Amino acid sequence: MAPFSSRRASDATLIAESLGRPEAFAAIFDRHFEAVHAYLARRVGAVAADDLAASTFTIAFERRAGFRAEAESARPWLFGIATNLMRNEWRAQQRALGALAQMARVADVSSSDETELSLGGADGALLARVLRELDEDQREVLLLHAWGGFSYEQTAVALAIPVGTVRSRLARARNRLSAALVSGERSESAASREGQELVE
Amino acid sequence: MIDELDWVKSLRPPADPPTAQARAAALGRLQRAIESEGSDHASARRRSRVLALLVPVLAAALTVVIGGAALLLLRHTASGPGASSAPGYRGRILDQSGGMLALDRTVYALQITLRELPSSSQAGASELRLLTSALRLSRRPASCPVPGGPTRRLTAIECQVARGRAQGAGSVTIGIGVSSRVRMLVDTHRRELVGVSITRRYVRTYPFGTLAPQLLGTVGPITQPETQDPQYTGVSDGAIVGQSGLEYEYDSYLRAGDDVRLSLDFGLQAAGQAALSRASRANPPASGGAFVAMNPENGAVYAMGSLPSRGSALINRAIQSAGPVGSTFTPVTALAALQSGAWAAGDSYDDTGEFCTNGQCRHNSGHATYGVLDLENALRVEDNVFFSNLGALTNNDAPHGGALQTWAELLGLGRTTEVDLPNEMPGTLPTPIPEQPWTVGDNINLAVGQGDLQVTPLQLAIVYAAIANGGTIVTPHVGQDIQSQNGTILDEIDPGPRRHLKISPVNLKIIRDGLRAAASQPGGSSADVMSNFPEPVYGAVGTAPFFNKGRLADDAWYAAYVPATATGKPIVVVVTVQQGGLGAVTAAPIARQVLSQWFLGTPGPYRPGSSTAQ
Repeated sequence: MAPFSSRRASDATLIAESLGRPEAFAAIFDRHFEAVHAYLARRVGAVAADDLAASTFTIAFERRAGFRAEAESARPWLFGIATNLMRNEWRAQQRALGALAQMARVADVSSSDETELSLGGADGALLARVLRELDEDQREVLLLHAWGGFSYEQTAVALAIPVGTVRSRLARARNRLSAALVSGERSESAASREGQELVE
Repeated sequence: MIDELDWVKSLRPPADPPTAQARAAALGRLQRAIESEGSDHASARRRSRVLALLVPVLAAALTVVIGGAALLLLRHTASGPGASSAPGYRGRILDQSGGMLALDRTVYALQITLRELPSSSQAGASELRLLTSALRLSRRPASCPVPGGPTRRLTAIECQVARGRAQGAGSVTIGIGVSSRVRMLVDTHRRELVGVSITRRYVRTYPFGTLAPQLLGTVGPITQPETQDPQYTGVSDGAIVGQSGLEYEYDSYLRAGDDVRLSLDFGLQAAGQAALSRASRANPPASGGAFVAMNPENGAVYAMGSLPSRGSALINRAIQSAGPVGSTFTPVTALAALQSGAWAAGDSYDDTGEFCTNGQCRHNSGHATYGVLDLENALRVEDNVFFSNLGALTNNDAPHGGALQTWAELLGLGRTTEVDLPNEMPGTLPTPIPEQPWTVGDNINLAVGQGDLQVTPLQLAIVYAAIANGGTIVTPHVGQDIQSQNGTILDEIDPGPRRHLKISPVNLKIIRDGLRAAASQPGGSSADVMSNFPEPVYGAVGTAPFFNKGRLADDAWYAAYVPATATGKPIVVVVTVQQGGLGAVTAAPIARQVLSQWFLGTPGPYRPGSSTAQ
């Protein structure tokens, strides 16, 4: 007996089906758990990601009636739930910022090849600092796009905002990044100070 | 000038994939949410609220564009006895931590009660037309053979109704697995749709279909031959019964609606299965294999996997595929020689590179010569010449053989382990019998785990468990307890040991030290794979040559344990890869991943071994 008859069905079909047959939702987990976990792990570290990723799917299951069926893939919707979880949990927030600082330091010591060297710990620390200074809305747009690999449209679905808002928030984030990169903030001392501060 | 976005992208931190345990835990939480929704009245109310919001939309769709694209419908029609009967709920199969491995999901069938269908043919016909549209079935009439009557041209639903009436059936089932929207639609229009009802059915589902399908087994409507099986006494025609694997073994409990919880560890099962597939792919012409992980103290099976895991004939190779096991057999030879006095602690032997009897000579792998060594060191390097000598020393042509046969039998070889799974193979223990000639060469073959010896991976696990626990022959079991639907434990599954062997502590120590050295000391047969493992591993490699389609191929074996004296979670692991080549190269790394998952929570990378010991 096939475990799930609807293997090739779209996410939207599966979620609709799961309204009457809740077990169908397990296939959504199979399709997207790794991706959701990876994004959360980048943001808050693997340990916190385990819990948040699990919560993402139970919440998604409970709210599945609200899934907008015109979206083919459930991934942006799931990332949106994951993003809200990160925002709502203050501790997760702190971990997110801590993880960035950690990343900066790890990049510094483990850089062994050319590309990593050129990125170095200073860049990580600078990015950590810029991200922290960015307004929360801009940060989420930037990272869903740059680290989550989402298009403007998918980012809009994830955050339930118009595409125009995605564009404007991203433009502001870019301006801030550009300013930071140009104005020579990438000094080693500034970076290590920043990393220190964030860890505390 | 770098692009800011590219710069941010380039700083994307690495992310390791989630551990098998984290994944299983997350899935467990989701499954509990799914499950609680099925039974929880509060959530049922919440769902009906959702339905209430959708109903007007659907009703509009029905009146405006009947059968329009908004409706999500399945087109199944009733077929087979399972579909037309209403079997009862079947209990679930759960893993150690309660994760669902097999469960009944509820599906809904659309049923027409024939005598309630409007008697006026016009009203009845218009109702069937409405259903045809709603279910998006073809409106075009097709040839419909009606039993005992002329073949007519009817639409699909009209045909079902006509056939049902001709057969004197009370009702006909039109669709199985109808979506919630069809259910709502029928509910909304129940006044127009007289005689149409939605009934609940159960369909067996395996959320992890490719994980341990042989172990879980299958269910289906009871067959004619099965009605003769005493296990199915009192089962009505058309009922769904377990037909293989655990579904068969625990059928009476499951049919009564109780859950069977296994000792199986989901994460370990997944890690073992992945390691086995990967090693099998990486070592052509490897053609599948099996692994077993078990508690050596009480026989609780933690994982049992078999490849291939797809296809029509699913063989559980862990219990149904027996073969020669190569040098993994040598601890049995050592035990027989020591216990019978054919060999004593402190005795040594000079391995000159070959052992010859009756003009037939045996060599070590790669024609290695190990010189003077004792039994412990012979186990460390897997010295086939040494154990050939022990085979000659323990040979006895008398019926039932000598010490080697006696101890192999005591350790459970040549008979089933009585695991709680159907169709286990007993394997073969080569023994002198009166009518057939027996030579010392046959005993030497047995001593090095070759020739006609046939052992299943589970049998080998029982042997190593006995060495680990000091001589207890445990009864392996996959089932742990029987639970009611609300989680109350109704029955513990604890078969208890089969027997306890009296083994001299001195002799046991020699064998254990040899196995420990094999996995940890320089020159040890699996030391390159196991020596840096944080827990003390006791292991032996095996490579069993056999002829396959005229060409010589090797089955790779590895057997190992971490004893209860060293850890609170003792485990014995046996791995075989068919046509996998050297046991040290192919099988030991799989066992390492299983042990790593068990003790460290992550399987770690697959690294082929480099030892050429056989």
